[in-house]
Amino acid sequence: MTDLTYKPIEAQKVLIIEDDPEFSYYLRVVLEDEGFRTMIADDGINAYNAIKTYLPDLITLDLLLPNKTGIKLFTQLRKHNKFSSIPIIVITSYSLNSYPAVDLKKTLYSNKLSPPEAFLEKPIESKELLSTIQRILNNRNIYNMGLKG
Amino acid sequence: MNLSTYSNSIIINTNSKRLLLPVKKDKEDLLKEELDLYKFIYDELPCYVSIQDTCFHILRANKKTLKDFGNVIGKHCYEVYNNSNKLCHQCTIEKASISDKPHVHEQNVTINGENARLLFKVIPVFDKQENLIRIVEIVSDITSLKHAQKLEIVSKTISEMAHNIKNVISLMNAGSYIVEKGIEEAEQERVKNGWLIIQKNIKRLSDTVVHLINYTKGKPTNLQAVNLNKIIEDIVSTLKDKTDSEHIKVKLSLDKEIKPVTGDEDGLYHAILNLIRNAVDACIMDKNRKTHYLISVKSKDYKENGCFITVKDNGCGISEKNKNKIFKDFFTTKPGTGTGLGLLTTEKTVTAHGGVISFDSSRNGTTFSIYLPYRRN
Repeated sequence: MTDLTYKPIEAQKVLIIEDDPEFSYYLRVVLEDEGFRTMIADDGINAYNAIKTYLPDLITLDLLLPNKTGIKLFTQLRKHNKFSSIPIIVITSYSLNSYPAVDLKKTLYSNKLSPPEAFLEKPIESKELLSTIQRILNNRNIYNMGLKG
Repeated sequence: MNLSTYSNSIIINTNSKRLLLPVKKDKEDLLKEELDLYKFIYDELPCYVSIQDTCFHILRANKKTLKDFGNVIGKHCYEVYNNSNKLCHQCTIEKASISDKPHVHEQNVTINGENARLLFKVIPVFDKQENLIRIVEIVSDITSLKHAQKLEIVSKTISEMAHNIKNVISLMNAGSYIVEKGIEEAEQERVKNGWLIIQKNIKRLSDTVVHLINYTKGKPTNLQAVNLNKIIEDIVSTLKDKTDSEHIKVKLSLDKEIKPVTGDEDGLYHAILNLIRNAVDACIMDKNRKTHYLISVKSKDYKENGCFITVKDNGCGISEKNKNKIFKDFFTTKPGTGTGLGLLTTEKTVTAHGGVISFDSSRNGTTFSIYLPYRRN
């Protein structure tokens, strides 16, 4: 059986977009221990600049952000021809049936945008986060192999 | 009135609908019909309507008023609604007649032994010489509406509270993960960082609980003579470590003439503490680093009736967008530290002591000012 587990030669870059310094520190510890390279942006504007400069392989996005909400940033990225394919994990402390996740769903629907690759609700277990990222990057790997093949 | 009063109309019954065709009538009939129609609407309105003279005597009242309040004709309006023999404290009729404009106010009233919340709308009626001749008072029972509003607020509060606590748990969870990893890998620095996160969030949780308790306290019960100058000095000395480490200068100018306020000492302590803490946070959060940060706290007697306490900072200021939200439930701009209940609790405490809170904010800082009467009326 072919092992499809994605084993990057170079460390994958994850951009953590989160305004709570303690939570972003936690995500950084979890991800860096697994060999990812991380960058942290604490508001929407810094996040967009970081994406332009570092072109991350994956983004974790908190929906409630100062200076440009997470929903606005999400829409901007999905509409961008270069950044639209970056996988996004939306992280929220609200339940998925309430604000702001519902607002995001409405925006997705009205702008015909592809949904985030995953939705995670706080508190987030490290294992859950890592398996989600693994799944997303594996899928991406299969997809890329398909393109090459 | 039933529609057969329109005896001059011909009713044509087609299978699907009934058509009402008017036949020719003279002016007087038409006028009578109009009047009957208005009388019908007046009687059937689901609210209390009365017409009063300028001395608040009820001259006419609609069916619902007569049914719920008995024969009110000739009685004063305050006898009927307030069971009192003098003008109500907040008489909107008086205000309406002075200002020439309709006035609205709410009041608690007992109807058939049950408490009800009524909304009064008072419309002055003037003659051609602009003399006040009549007053029309329309009163709606908004008890169930108020109840529904209260339930909505309670449900919103519970859901926001749950969200707040969930956030704290999420961070405690994060802290304990970091501590665990630090122990596993014998990394002292990590253990320390994780432990700080846990400690900070224990404090946040306990702040939330204290704020909730203060918020739900209601009217001050434990009344005593409170020395506000002493409270301010206590708070400033409690926060001294923090302000010193953040290089924030705190200037006090306390008026020795102010008298003790009769109130709840603990509640007032927290109300003022919230304002000073917010001022400190506004200085810390200011992104355009200024050369020096200053918080000035003042107390000042006002005509021997009460006093003003002002807390002024030169921190980041409140954005235009947030100015409307600061007294709303669980509003915070301080991720990871704010409970979103601080200012709300302060406002509630000040109001419960018969006082007023106001603020003024620009990019150069914010001034919060509270007025507290020495004695509540």
